[in-house]
Amino acid sequence: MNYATKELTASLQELTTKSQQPAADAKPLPESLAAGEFAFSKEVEGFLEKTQAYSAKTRNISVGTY
Amino acid sequence: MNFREAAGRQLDWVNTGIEHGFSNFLFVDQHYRSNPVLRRIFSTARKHGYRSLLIEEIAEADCALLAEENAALLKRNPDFQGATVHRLSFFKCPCGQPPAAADFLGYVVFKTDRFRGLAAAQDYVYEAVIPPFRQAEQNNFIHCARDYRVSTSLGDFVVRGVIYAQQNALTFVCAHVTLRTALACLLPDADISYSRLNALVGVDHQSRKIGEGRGLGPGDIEKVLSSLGVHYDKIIHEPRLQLQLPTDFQRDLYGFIESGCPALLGFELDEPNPGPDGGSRHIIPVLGHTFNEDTWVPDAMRDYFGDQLSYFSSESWLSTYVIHDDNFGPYYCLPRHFLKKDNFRVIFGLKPQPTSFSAVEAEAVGFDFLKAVAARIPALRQDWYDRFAVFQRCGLLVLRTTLVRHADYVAHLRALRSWEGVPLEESHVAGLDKSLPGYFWMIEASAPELFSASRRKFGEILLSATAPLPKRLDLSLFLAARLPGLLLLNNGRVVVAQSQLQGHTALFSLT
Repeated sequence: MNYATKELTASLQELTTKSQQPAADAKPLPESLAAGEFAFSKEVEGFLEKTQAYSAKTRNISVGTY
Repeated sequence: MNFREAAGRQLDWVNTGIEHGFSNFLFVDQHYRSNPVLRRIFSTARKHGYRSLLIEEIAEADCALLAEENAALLKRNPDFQGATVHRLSFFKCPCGQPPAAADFLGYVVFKTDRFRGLAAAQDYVYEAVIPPFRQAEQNNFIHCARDYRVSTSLGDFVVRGVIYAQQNALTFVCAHVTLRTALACLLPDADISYSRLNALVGVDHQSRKIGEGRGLGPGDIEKVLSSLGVHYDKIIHEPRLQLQLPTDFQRDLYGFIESGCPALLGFELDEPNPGPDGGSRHIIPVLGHTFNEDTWVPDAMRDYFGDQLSYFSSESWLSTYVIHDDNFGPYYCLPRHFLKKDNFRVIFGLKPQPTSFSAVEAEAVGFDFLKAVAARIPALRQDWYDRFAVFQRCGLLVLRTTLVRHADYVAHLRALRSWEGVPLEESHVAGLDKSLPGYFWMIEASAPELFSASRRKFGEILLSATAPLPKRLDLSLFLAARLPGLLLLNNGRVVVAQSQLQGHTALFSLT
C-alpha cells in the first residue's frame, strides 16, 4: 500500500470515528471565499506555462501530408 | 442528390440468414472481388443479425453526386471510362416481408471505377452507415453519431451511425475521408462532398492534384475547418523539427472525444526505408472510446511507473479509442497507448465553440480550485463532503473534464438525485441556469470506486472556456462548483450556499 492510500485509509477511519461522535468540533461554514484564497500550485503554474508556450510555438506549423 | 436519396434500380433482394446457407465470404468473393472492407461491414451486419440484403444499382442520371464524382475522376485521369455503383442495404427481416422501420440496419455504397488500360477495376466503399455493434451497455461510447435517411426501393428508412468512407487515391485521399467523417458529425447536413473539400483547398485535379503520394497538409485541413466555421484545436508533435509535445497526446485526444466531438488523428508509418522527411503519413477519425471499469492502469501508473499527477484522470479508465480506418473498415478499437508518441504527429480536435485553453489545462486548473475549496472547507461533518475532502487531500480524486453545453448541464442538474432520492434545490438550479454561459468546462470529481463502478461523483467545478488563462490563479475562470451539501457561485467573490443534496450523484452523460 502506498503513502497516499495509507493516508486515505487512516483519514477515512478518522471520519468514521468522528461521525459517531457529537459534532462539537464542526467549524461554521464560511459565507464566501475571497479571490486571495485561490492560488495556482507551482506544479500547475509550470505545467500551464509549458503547454501555452508550446501551443503558441506550433500554431502555424504545417508538416507532411495525409 | 446524394447516394442516400437517389432512386435505385433493384437488382436483387436476397435472404442472408444462416438458415439459408448464405455466406458473407462467398457473396463478397463472387460479386465484389473479395473486397476486405466490404467483408468487415458484412460481418458487422451479421453481428446485428441481418437476414436479408437489398442490392440496388444507382445510375449517374439519378444521382448528381455520382455525376460530380465521375466528372472529377475524368478530369484527374482521362482514362476514366465510367463507374458502377451498388447500394447494399441490410435488413433484419427476411426478403419478401415488408420491412418495418426497426428492420433497417444500414447501407453501403460500393463504387467500381473503370480505367482504359487497367485490367482491374478500382473498387472502394464510397460510404457506409451502420450502427456500431457494441453500445453504451457494453462500455462503448460514441457521442457523435447522426441519423441518415435512406430512400430504397423498399421504402425510406433511418439509420444512426457515423459515416464511413474509403479513399479512391485519385480525387480524394485519407485526409478527405477523415475530414468527411468528422465533419459529418457536426455539420447541419451531416455530410460534405469531396468536390467541396477540394474546392476549399484549391485541388482542381489539374493545377493541383492529389493521390499517388500527394495528400493534404495540416494547413489544408485547417483551411477546410476554418472555411466551414468549425472550431478546432491543433496539437502537433514533430520531433524532427525539435517540436516535442510536452503532454501525453492521448489525454488531449480524450478531452475532445469525451466532450462529444470527433478528432482527426495523424501519424507516421514505420517503414523500412523512410525518406529524409520520415515515413508516409496516415490520418484517421476518432469517434469514441471504450471504458474498462476494472483496469489496473490508474493504480499501477502511480505506484509502479512514477506518474506524478496528484489525481487520477478519468482517461486512465479508457480502454480503446473507437476509430474508422479507411484502409480497414468502420468501428475499429485502437488500444490506448498502442499508437506511440514516436509515431504520433497531429490531432485536430473539433469543438462546438472556441475555447481559450484545452481540456487538459482546464483539468489542471480545476484541480487547483478543488484543492483550495477543500483547504478552506476541510470538513462539513457530512459523510460525502468529508470523503471528497479526504480524497482531495490524499491526491486520490478522479477528475473528468468535458466541454458542456449550458442546456445539457441544466438538464443534468434537474435529473440529479442522491441515492436517497434527494434532488438539487430548484432555486440552485435556477441560479446556475441564469448565470452560466452557453458552453463551459466541467471538471467532475469522484473517487476511483465511485467513478468506475457506480459511475457517480462527488460533484463538479465549472470553469469559463472562453476567458483567457490568467498568469496567476484568480476568480476570472471560476463559474461555480457543486459538491455534496454545497453550492459555490462566483459573484465577484465565491458565495457559499448549503444544499440538501448531500450524497454522490450520477456522472454527466451525453448518451
